[in-house]
Amino acid sequence: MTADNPAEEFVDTEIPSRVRHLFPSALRRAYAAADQTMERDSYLGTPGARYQRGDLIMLAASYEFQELVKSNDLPFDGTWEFFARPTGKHFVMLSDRARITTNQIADPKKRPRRAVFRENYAELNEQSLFDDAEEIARQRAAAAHDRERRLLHVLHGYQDLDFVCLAYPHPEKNRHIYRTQNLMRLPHDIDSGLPPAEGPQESPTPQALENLERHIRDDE
Amino acid sequence: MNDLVAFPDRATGFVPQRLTEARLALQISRAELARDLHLTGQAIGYYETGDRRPDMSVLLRISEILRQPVSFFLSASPAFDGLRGTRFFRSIGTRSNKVNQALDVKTKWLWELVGFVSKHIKLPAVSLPDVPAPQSETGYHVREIEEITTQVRRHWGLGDGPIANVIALFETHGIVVTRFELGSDEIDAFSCWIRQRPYVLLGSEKKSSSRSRFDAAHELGHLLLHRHIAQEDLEDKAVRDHIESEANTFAGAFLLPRSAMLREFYSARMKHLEGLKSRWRVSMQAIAHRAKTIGIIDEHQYILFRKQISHNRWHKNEPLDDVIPMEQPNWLLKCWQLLTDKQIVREAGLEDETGFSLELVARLFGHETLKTKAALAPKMVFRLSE
Repeated sequence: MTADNPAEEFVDTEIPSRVRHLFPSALRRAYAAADQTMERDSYLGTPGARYQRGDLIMLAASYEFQELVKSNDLPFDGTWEFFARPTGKHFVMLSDRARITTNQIADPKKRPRRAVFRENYAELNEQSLFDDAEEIARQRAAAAHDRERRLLHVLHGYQDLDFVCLAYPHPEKNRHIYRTQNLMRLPHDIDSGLPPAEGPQESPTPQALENLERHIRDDE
Repeated sequence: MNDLVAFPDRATGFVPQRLTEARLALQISRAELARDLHLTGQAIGYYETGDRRPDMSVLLRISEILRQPVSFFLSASPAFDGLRGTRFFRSIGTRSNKVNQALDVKTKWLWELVGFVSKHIKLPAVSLPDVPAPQSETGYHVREIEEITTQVRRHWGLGDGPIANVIALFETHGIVVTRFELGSDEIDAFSCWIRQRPYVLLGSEKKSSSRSRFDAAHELGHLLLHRHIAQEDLEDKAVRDHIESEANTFAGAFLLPRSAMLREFYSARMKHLEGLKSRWRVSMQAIAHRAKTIGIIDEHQYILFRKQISHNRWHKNEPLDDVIPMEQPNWLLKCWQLLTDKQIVREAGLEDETGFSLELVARLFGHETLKTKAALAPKMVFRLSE
């Protein structure tokens, strides 16, 4: 089935529905890990630390997604990139045609504040590292392909994990061209859609050999 | 035991090995038996080697002390061959010889009883997949074990959901399962292959269903992964520790598939773990350990979890242990009921037919008693004067 909205179709292709349940659970783990860390270490109990709880969540979320990519549970490549101002790094997932970043925001309807990513990062220093013309061409093609990747967001937030959405941001306006439903609401669906208990409930019923033999005779 | 005494068939004669078996099963030494019989230990030795036969009055007392019908001591003891791999006694390092020997005998008797049942009832076909040998000489990698557990689940037509009843699942696929008192707190369960059929013997001492399910899955791991390990290999503690670790990994992966954990696990908090335990019927400790194996929680989070378990004193008894019902093996009992209800075997001579006391049959079949019409009938007791 093809989506009416091309942006929706793009999101569906790049982040298939079969892996979407992993996003809320990964973020739940990230929030829980951040809170546990803050509870455990008293220096993270200060007002200053509490104010920066979001940073811990961001780090934990990056870790969770990195692990899911490493284990191939998420069908992406992963890379750690600098923020626009190189004050830190964050984990970016790369699908075939999209660059997927994780963003904490207060309102899922609004696009995250404009994030500017370093351009041409893949071309840095390439000339000095590779003398092989073919390798240089391959690197350039890869970089060009990378630049063509569209940006997709995993939106979540904010103080509590109230929502998780996948979104295709508008290039200029402060909104999204397309945003999925709140994946956090899936728990209702997930609860009902969770795999039920499987396998037999009771020991098998034994069958006497003489009955079998009678059946064989009857068939003959 | 039925008190109705049948006079022995002298043509068949006393079978020395049966005396040894009955004595070992009750963990009674020759000296102890001799004392109870007012005989010498040497006399018991003669009986067990076949150099002498007990007279009828002694045999009756032996029957009483060792809780077997007289006919048991007169029935041939089939050769216990075809035992493949080894008996994987859990907590093998601390078992005593007496317990070990008793379990060996009871395993043999169970096999004999299954043989008796199989004369009248079609046994479920054994349906276990062939699993690959480990890629490394040092054993299976966690990833390989994950793949094998998925292979087993698919082979048995399962997806990645919770298993409704582990024992019923095993029995459906041809594994003989029973649960009885193993006689040692150190042994939770054990398993073996006998003539191409797998057996899992669970201890009745453990009162937690979720732990018992894990024990059963652990034994399935041994049956599949360690079928070709010889008994003498287990003399090496490093080998024992290694295969135990592999079987534990197998049990965790079999009961809690990776994909399901990634979907459903998000916190090592007790409340969340309790919810997962209720759904998956696996102990909170096993769930947390599995989460660590997969990498959902790190070592530090796991240590914190362990501290909470210690703080709450939940090592042996966790929340919900008194709520989740214990799974019981029922296939053998159903067989027995079929045999008696359809009068395929004569109730009056059940002990003679099987060669074992009904009390023993009940226990080996995982139940306290067997309800038969004969058991309810008035007992006729013949006693010979000494």
